[in-house]
Amino acid sequence: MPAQLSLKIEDIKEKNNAKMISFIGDLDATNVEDILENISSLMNEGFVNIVADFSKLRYVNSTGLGIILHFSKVAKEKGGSFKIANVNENVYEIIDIIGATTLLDIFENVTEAVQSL
Amino acid sequence: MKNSIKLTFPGKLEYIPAIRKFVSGVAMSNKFSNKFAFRLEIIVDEICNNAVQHGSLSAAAQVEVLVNIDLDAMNISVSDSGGKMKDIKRLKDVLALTNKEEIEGKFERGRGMDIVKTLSSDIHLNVLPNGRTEIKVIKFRENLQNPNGKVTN
Amino acid sequence: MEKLQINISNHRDSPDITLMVFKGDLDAGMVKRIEREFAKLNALGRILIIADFSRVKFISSPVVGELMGCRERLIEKGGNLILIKLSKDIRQKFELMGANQVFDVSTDEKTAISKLYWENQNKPDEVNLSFTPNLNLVPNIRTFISNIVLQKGYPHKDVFRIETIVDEICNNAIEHGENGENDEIKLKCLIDKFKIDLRVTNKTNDKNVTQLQQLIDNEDKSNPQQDSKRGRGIRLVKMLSSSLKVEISRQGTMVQITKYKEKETHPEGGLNAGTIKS
Repeated sequence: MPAQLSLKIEDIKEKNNAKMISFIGDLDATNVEDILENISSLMNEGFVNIVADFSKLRYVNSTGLGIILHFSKVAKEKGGSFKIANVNENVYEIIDIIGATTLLDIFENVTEAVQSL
Repeated sequence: MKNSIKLTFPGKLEYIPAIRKFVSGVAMSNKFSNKFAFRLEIIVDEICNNAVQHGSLSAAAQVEVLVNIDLDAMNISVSDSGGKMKDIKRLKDVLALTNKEEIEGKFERGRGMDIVKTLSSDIHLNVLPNGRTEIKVIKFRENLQNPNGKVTN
Repeated sequence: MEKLQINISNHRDSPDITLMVFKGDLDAGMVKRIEREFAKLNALGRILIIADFSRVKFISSPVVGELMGCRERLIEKGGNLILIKLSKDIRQKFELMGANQVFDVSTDEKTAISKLYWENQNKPDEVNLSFTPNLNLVPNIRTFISNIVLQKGYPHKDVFRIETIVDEICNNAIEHGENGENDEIKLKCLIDKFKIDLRVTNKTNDKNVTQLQQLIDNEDKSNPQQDSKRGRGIRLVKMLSSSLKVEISRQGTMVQITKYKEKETHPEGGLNAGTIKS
């Protein structure tokens, strides 16, 4: 069994082809494959505007960040966007260390992230 | 009394969450800060991932984690058996690099090792006489004089 | 269509496992050949097989059917066939055929080997800990072992019982062993699909040897209200375990526990089952 991570996926009423995805738990090498499959399927179905709510994401490692960067890249290629909100201090530090703060769209809260869609 | 722990586990990814939480829990029990413990959790995770993914494919292969707890520092050593020489060389090269773009270009796991380097006070890669590859990290307690817990010599 | 090559070898690091590497297209004409190769392996008693599909672009439905049959025959003999490195197209085809519900699929060799040993050979995983005899380490150690058994799919009730067992036997070893600065407590944990074996060893404190032996010998006659804390601890461990063995000598004390997994009436499952404790 992998580390505990679950996704809560909801529609974003204000925008077509948009989903809000809450990440709950720890994102690491043991669960990236499942998350990759889930979110890639969503994007392939046409939901290319995604707001990722990280308020309940306690922990992420380099493998986890790797797929977040991948989602960001794929969403842009498909004419959409992958925005992140509510990043906790510890997770932000890791994003900063790998130099991804300029590569990812990071917002203070989900309201601002949704408004920017 | 100085505390030390030696732990061996099968070289499988599924063990890593429990192991990283164990080491960070030990840090918190020894009055290191929550921030220190989180950073240590990341360090252990990344190094153990490296050991599991580049170590031997044998079912009997065990990864060994040594934890030594001093008053102001935690010393972590992770070693694995096997591992191809080219992977060991690449890892050595990554640890020697300082330029972020170069690191990402050279090595798929470069990102992880970059994080470890940044969060640790000091890091060394050794190939042991018994053929095991070891990564040793020391992380000093952060304080006013040394807010990042970095080696300053 | 690319001509098919099949490379069969014993896995270099785990030689009781056969690695079959397919290269080329698996069209309908290849069914007989695949059947023959599996029959040869069967005759040699090679029942643990990993099939590598990294160099396969196309697979026909008759071949999928044939592989299902080969897998069935392996399972009957206590073996299995695990497929690795399937391309996206092949995975989609499997989903359309419902074959993804039948086959075990892994992303890489290591995971497949691990699955074969765990599921089909019931080979236990071994975790060893040796640590300074400090009571402050025990909460972290018991949480660590309980997180491992939780990862392994043990039911919550068992996870809690195992945590209690680990706590009690480690505390006992620290409090009642001969523990100088350079001594250490060793905890060996062997876990398989059905049970966990825990073994704690420590240096023997001569003064406590007789007391411990008496406690174990008189366990059935003891009175919970009058017992020492140690007596209650041992009784608790005995009640929670499937078996308990203690060996005491001047060289060391060893406490060995076996705990079988109990069947849950409402088994939990799925990706979100279990929360690892920090």
